[in-house]
Amino acid sequence: MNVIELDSISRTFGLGNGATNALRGVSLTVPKGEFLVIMGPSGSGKSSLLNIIGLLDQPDDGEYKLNGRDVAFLSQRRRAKIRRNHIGFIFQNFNLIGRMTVLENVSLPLLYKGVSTLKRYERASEILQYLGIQEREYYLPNQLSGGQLQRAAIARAMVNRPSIVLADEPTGNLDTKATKLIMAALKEIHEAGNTIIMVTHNPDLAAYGDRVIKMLDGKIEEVLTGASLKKELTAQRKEAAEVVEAAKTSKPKAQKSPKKASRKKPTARTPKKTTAQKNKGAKK
Amino acid sequence: MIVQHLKMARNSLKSNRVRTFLTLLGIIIGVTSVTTIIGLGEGVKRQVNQQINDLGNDLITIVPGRETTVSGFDSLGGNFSTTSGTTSRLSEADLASVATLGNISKAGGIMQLDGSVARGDKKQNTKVLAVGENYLDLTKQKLSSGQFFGGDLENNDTVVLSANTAASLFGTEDPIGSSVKIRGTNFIVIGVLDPQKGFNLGQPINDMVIIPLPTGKELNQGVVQFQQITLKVANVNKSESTAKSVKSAILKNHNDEEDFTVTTQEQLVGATDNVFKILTGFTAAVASISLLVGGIGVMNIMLVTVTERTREIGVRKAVGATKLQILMQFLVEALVITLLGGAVGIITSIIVSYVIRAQTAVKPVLDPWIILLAAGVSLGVGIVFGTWPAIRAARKDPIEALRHD
Repeated sequence: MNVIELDSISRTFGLGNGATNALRGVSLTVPKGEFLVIMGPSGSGKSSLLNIIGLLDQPDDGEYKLNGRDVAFLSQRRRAKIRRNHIGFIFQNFNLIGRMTVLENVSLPLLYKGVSTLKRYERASEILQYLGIQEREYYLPNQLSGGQLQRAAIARAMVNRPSIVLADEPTGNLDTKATKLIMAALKEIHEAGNTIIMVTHNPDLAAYGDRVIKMLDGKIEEVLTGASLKKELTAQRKEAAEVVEAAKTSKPKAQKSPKKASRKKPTARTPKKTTAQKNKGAKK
Repeated sequence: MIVQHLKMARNSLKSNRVRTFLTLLGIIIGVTSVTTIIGLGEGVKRQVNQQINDLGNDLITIVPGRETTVSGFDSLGGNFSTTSGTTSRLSEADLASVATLGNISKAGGIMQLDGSVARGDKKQNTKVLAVGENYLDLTKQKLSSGQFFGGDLENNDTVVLSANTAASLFGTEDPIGSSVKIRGTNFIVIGVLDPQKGFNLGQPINDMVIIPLPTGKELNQGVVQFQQITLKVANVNKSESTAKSVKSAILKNHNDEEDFTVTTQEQLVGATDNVFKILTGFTAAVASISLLVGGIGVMNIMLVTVTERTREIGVRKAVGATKLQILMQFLVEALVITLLGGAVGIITSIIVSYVIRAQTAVKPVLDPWIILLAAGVSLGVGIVFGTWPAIRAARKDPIEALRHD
């Protein structure tokens, strides 16, 4: 069964000559239980797509079915109700409300559903325990580390047992260790049968996905699954290693003449990037 | 849901105590001043009406001068009238002709002379009233000691002192039987009036001496000029028509020149009511400016709060809050401020009224309707000044709001 069915969704911002086509005819189906990763450069339409899937935004044209129900052009009120029942958001900057305890933050979606306070806290506590931060439930967000904050945010996204979890760069503000923890948590949630759509820049994280979509200029450029995904990933790791290597070798030169360093650095990097892009093109 | 909104409002207001307190203060000051002033006006009005009614509602008074309406007060809903100060042409003949009219049970005139009263070296400027024997009866005053003119008593050159005058001339001595000098003539004190309480309308009736009318006439070169003629009607329901016949009787005596004013007790109460309505309304309007400023303060703070919490609004919308739920959250927060401020303001004004009551002769009244009005006004201020910021919060686009720093 497909949770999401998008058919030639387009979205334009601005008017006339200043108009930008954030999405141009994106069609996509997401079956239940899939972990979908959306990748692509800035401005490729990843976030616009995620906003439309999350019903925070409406497409200009196209069809969107969520659990078989047409939801593309519903009223704000209806969309808010679908959000509280079917969609969980995880943001890059966690977006927990600072005045409220972790428990209150996590139970927030249930508040708007009209669930009684006791039940809300019970459910929130349960999910916090599942994510291993129950002992922090009475803490305020500013008393928590980044990894803990994001786990609380995941708990908030999961508390209403959503049909889909949307994660927008969930590890963008986290260090490597915390990133691993968060991805492990997402993986666990996924393995428990939840549908997850994650937007990320980080190629390393693509490995967690069942399927990876690469977007460019408002279109789906490439879809990678199974073997091709693995192949792509190893190539990308190699590339990344090359970039790092190049940066290392260029460093001693820069240190010798610190005044010129600022000029040299970009020139040293640009050719590497172009080769990387060429490699990409070759694969296609 | 409303309970949740209240909890959220408490949470938010608690998180910025100083700001909340200062905003509250604006509302507290506004509500306190408006409530106290309305209470004061109401209290004074009642005291004055009480005094007028103490005289009885069966009185008709005739005073010299024509009643003129002061223009400009009509728009305030008051019919504010006054009499111009002229030489009195109310004579003994006028008193005699109205006293015999139907429905008049008692009639008496008061002639007012200026003068001083002296006892030995002690001298005091005072009002000298020359009155008829039924004066006490008509004005509902009482003697604390001695007796009044009339009866078998030799009336000429006797005087009744007010409590104040007696105290300042005689101290603790008993003045009855002693002699005082008024306008160079010796008078024997035969009685002392009970002290008057509270306010005095027009003249300071606590400071006066009362002499018999014939004696007063002698002191005024043999002419009687009444400052007031007081009539008591037998049937109160007919006092309006009686007042008309009184007016026509005196008009006849005065060759149709209307140089006097006839007022029934009801008209008098109505007139003072109007005066106090205008006064209270005016001062309350001035005081409500502070309430307005307080309300603007609430709006200002709510707008700041909404901007500060833009991202929070985005999060709430993302997790499923509807526009209405966001609107209610911020409206409830504004209402909590104004209603809390209103409650504290009402309590403060009760305390202030109590202090005024204890320290001065004025007795403010805080009726339930005044307190309800204050509560209603607080609610109104909250709705008026809280709605717009709440609408702004509700209208925020969730995507923009989530990007907000």
